[in-house]
Amino acid sequence: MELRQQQAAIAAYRGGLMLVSAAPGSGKTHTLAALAARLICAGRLPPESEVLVVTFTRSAVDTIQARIRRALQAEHAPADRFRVMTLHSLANQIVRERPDLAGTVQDFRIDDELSGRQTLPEAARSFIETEYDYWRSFLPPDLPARQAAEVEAQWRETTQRIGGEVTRLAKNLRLTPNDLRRLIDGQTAGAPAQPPISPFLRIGAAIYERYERILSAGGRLDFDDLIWRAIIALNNDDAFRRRLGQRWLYILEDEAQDSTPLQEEILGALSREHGNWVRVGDPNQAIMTTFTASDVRFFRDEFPRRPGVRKASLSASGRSAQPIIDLANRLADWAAQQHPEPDVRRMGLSNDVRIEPVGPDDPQANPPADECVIHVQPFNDGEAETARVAESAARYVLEHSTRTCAVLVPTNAFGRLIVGALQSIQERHQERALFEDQLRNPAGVRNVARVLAQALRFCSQPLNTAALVALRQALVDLAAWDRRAGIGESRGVAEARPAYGPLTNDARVNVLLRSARLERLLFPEPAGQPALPERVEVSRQEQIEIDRLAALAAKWVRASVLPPDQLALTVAHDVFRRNEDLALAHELAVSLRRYLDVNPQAQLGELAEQLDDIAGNRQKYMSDSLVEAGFEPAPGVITVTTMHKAKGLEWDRVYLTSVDQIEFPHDVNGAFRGEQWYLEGRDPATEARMQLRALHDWAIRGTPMPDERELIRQARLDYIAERLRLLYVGITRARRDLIISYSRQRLGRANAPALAIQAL
Amino acid sequence: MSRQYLVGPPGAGKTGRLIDRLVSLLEQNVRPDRVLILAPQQSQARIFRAALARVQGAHRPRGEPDIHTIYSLARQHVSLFFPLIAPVAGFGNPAQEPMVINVEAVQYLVDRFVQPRLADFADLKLPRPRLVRQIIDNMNKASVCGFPLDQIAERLGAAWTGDAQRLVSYRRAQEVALDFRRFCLARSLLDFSLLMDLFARYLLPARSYQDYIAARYRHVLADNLEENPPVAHDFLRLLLRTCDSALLAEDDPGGYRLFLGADVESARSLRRHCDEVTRLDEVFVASPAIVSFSLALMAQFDEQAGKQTRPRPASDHPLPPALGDHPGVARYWTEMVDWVVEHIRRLLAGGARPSDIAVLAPFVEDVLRFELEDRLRADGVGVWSVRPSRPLYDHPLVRALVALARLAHPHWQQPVPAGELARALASLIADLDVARGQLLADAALRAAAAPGLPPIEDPAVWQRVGVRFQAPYAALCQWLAGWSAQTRADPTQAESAPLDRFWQEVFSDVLAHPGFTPHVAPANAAICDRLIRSALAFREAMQRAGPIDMMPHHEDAGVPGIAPRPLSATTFDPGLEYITILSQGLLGAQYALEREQPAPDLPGANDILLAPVYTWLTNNFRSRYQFWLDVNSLGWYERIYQPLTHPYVLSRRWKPGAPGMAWTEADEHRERQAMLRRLVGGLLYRCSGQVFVASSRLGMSGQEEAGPLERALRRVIETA
Repeated sequence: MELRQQQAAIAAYRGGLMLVSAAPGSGKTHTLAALAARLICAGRLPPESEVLVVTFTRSAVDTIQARIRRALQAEHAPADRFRVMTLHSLANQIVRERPDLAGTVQDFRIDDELSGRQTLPEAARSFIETEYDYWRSFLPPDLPARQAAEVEAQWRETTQRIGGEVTRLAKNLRLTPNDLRRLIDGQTAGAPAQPPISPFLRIGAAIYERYERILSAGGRLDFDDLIWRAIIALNNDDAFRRRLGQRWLYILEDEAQDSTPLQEEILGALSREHGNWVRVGDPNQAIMTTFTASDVRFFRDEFPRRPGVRKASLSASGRSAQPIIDLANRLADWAAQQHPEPDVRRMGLSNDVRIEPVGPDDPQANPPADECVIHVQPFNDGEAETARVAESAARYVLEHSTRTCAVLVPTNAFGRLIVGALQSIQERHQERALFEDQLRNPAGVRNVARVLAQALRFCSQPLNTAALVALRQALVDLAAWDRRAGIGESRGVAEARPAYGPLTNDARVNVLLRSARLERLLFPEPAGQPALPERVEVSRQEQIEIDRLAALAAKWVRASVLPPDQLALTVAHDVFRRNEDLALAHELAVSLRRYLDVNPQAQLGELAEQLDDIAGNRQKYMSDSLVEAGFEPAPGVITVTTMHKAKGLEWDRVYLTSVDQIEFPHDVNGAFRGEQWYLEGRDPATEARMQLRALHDWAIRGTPMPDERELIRQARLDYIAERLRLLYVGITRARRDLIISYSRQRLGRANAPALAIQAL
Repeated sequence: MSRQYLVGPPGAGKTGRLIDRLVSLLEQNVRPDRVLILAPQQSQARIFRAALARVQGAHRPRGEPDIHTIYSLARQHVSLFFPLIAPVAGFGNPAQEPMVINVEAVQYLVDRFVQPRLADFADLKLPRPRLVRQIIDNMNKASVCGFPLDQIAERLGAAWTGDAQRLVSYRRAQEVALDFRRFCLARSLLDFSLLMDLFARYLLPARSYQDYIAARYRHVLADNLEENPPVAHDFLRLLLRTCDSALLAEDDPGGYRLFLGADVESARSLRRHCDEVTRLDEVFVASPAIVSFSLALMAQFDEQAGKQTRPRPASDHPLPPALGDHPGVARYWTEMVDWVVEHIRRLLAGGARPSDIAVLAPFVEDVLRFELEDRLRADGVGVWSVRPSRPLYDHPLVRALVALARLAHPHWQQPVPAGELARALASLIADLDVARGQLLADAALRAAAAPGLPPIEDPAVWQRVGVRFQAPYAALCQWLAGWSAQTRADPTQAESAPLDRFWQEVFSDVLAHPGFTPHVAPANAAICDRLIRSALAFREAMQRAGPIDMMPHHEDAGVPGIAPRPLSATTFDPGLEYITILSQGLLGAQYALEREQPAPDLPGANDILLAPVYTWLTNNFRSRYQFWLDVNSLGWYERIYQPLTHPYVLSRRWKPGAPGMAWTEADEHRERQAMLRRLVGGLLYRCSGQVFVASSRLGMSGQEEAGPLERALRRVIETA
């Protein structure tokens, strides 16, 4: 493995605590894999010990695994002695190993996005129903009827968000509903000088209580519980914890800037004896802190202060052209030194680690600076912005079929406008796909869900020719998608779809299928009548295709007497070959089983609908980042996605849209997202979350409890800081060209570019 | 004759010697009814019955030897001596005839006690049926070890080293157990645990009972002692004092029924009461190559294994003859299945019979069975699987029978959707596929004027479906119409036409006849039988239990889906209740049923056997060729961990209160190694041909696993 100087210094690590700050594109995955391989080859691992790599996404697991294997093979070392896992699979393994210690059973039920999609709404509904008058008292009393209904609906949604955020944070602080209640009550019973508890936190606590009761009734856990349970198991038997610590003698943590308090606790517990814990991350890319439990403060501020922590950095990056690097570095400088809010200067972006280009001889040299385009483009309004950005991006991929390109949006809503504009351009270019909608659920997730949905639907209606045609279409699309993504060669899988083979997109096959008697096609009787009308000519190729499809469909229909999750697995094993797809299909199958646990009467058709919701982006499923779904940008195809999901990826040309003061505020006294006019501009979910955190810090650490105004100010500062990091992430996705745009008019008011853009 | 104790590996001829002794006793004109044969389960009892059938013709003996499992013996004797023990054992009405209740009823009733107290267990994250099952497990374990229920929490607590909250949960689980026990005592209901408790703590110590068995059983034969719980050993210890002869046999390695209370050490304590201990080391089943492979593999799990660099040499016998082929390491799970099927085909081509072949995995899911069946169908080979822990409701035929019951009971208001009906018809009518089933279901829904299954007159439908299915469909729908007419005419239908009778009659009148799957496949008939008996026993138990009114005494009432439904005598329909718990999966993991049910049928000559490893071992199967699947899975290594029960701590040798009685990681590790050692030994000694091991890097779960069995196999293979 070729390593740059900084990378080699890190790979020379032999033990202890280490913190690595890695700039975007500086090859941290590569370095982590090299480090793991060297630790293994150094021969100091006892026989039963392994190197544990914890990453953020499942597809990162595959990438790192493959790289470590390659590195070990190069050294002629056996390709084992290491484990690469996401935090969830680590927690899952700990709990599964000793569920008795964790207070559960091996086949514990997880409430996931599909099976648990009703849990929080149900808890919120139950709260609203029992406390209706109190709940309603937050709204202005004298609204006209129609507006009242609208506001009530919004308030309902907000209430659910309060419940969700409080639940999540409470679990990360390891507070049961009872603990939380005690914390709140203890607080109010205290001296009058202490600040009152926000009613929103009380609402959140009440919903959390109900949420937990619903989960317990089904014996279910959510993902935060899973991690919490892993800690309980480790704490309940010190010898068990030490044994696992001995097994994972080195812990390498990727994307550490996004880790949550619970995650740090698990890794800290596992490394307590040996202290071999390497944390790699980029504090400037922490973009999940205001809506998840992740908290960059531990990684950025607290961990480095621990005794004996070695600090290292990876700053050399071959990703972007020099002007783009300069822009990102200037943004960091401006944020750290000149931001108008002095508090944001220490919270937003750090300029400790500046991105540096690699040398010209580096195999991954930076793109040439002289060809680089950086452009800031104002538009009159959002409509003009979407239309022109779409046109420009389409022109770019039509002219540069080997280059990659992305339109990055701050919100899904704006992304849908871009997708709409691109769809109308696409109509003029039937010959090739111009773009991929990767907004809510990445295409990888949608494809898997769609195939399973169509298979289940067909099994629920085995005589429905339209359902069979739809199933075939899903398989055809999947094969096409795979071919475009280069699956088959690049991933070393010779035949991507052995069960169905190469498919033509021949509409005639669909016509033939529509005329078939399916019981005869799928289950021919000996010497029975033909399935297709006799007067129809069928070519050899068509016959082969129809027979193949019929054999598969018949097998699945036979399998439909199995429990539905087992049917889904049968389909998955016939259709998918990529690790990510199989793993995802398995997740979905397990989700179906869980869904059936909650809804025992559900039929195949209903399950197919649930999968349709994922395929059709109506339900989010395991898609906090695109990398998660194994996405890789395809040349000549525009990726449309959010700035958040773009993390970990790069494109030759990147369009950053809506870079304005609504999306990237700078003034703590300005207007903010999430703040509700009917609540006099308050943002209840954020307020509840901030107060819970402050209350917890006050109770546990004795830090002073800020008043309500101060909490709101802090929340706004957090948001300003995180949006700066988001902008930084957006800029550093670009390799060659960066086009930044905004509208002068948006949401009916005058708008200005983000202050950072003006300043730069 | 003497009291002799045999010990040796499986296949050393112990059962043969027991049978020889039985024959020789009969030849010496010992009164057959003075002979007791004790087997750990019905499948082994059958071996003795078969042997008896062979010799009885020649000897025309007077009477029959008693062939029992400890459960069947306890049940008979408790019933016999009930008047003696009932007054002292706390029965509310000692004069009332006791009723034995099945595990379904026990689960249902304990669940009714658990429901209102769910909040008590909020710190545990368990599906309710699992909570219920652990409480039942604890009661059962206490009874077969012979300690009272109120010691459960104390024992578990003494071994626990974690947070104090768990101690509270132990106590609360014990309170449920005690409440249930009081409920049973008040109504003279005997669940497994109460029955065994009466046997262990009231019957065995009673002088009159001891005199009775001393007179009754003069000769004792007992096989697989190590698979029996301590109470069986207590019983044998009594007999050893008085009998004329005894021949006891222990399998080593063995003790696979640990989770049912099997206790190897307790079995071995009987050696002291025997005149002679004979060690049999020569094996007749496993080949020398297998034996040496087995020794090498077992050595990997010896206590010092971690420190050993080389396993014991595989003696003169090289590995390949023992190992059918080099391990099949596939990337994907389906490729592993392909590899297995390919090797099965080669074995068959080489002259092996399908029934010589066993496919074994730590967990057997439906999809594995389906994929094997699907691939082997072309070779004319079937798959016969034994999976006692599979939820009953997951079986397509059970679902079909439930669908029929729903059609026949429209007042339950549980309509059968078309898809469900299509699959039900395909599961019931022989050779009918789901697509044609769907044609019928759609036509039936179109024609349905009233609830039930309407006749289908449209000739176009039959032309598409196939006329040969017309007769079975008509038979089914006529029968259902007749049943509905009959029950409608009878206003007290819930009592006069219970669910079990419905199933019994539809089975004997319709399904057992040509044209239906239970007629074609005996395994299907067996499932019908099991379901009918289960529903019957459930109903009878409910009649005795009477109305149960348990309102929640927590604040759950406001939360949807949580508050238990209050039941009262007027609304209680045991059939509907049975269907509900069946479809909720409450009736799963029926390993307890093994105690009460006859042994599973044997596979046909054209079937390969598919089973979870432990099921295969506890059934004492033998197979010439074994396929070990998913050898990288941790499932080979892990016992079933549960937060409220513990097989080692709730055993006789674990003494509460004694110092050093906390259950530690070191204990866990030692027992896991020992169990895996016994497991591979047990498998290999029962293998006379070859072993094929296979794994896939991405298992069923799509996740990689690296369990210790795979590592051990690799070390042994590398050294060979």
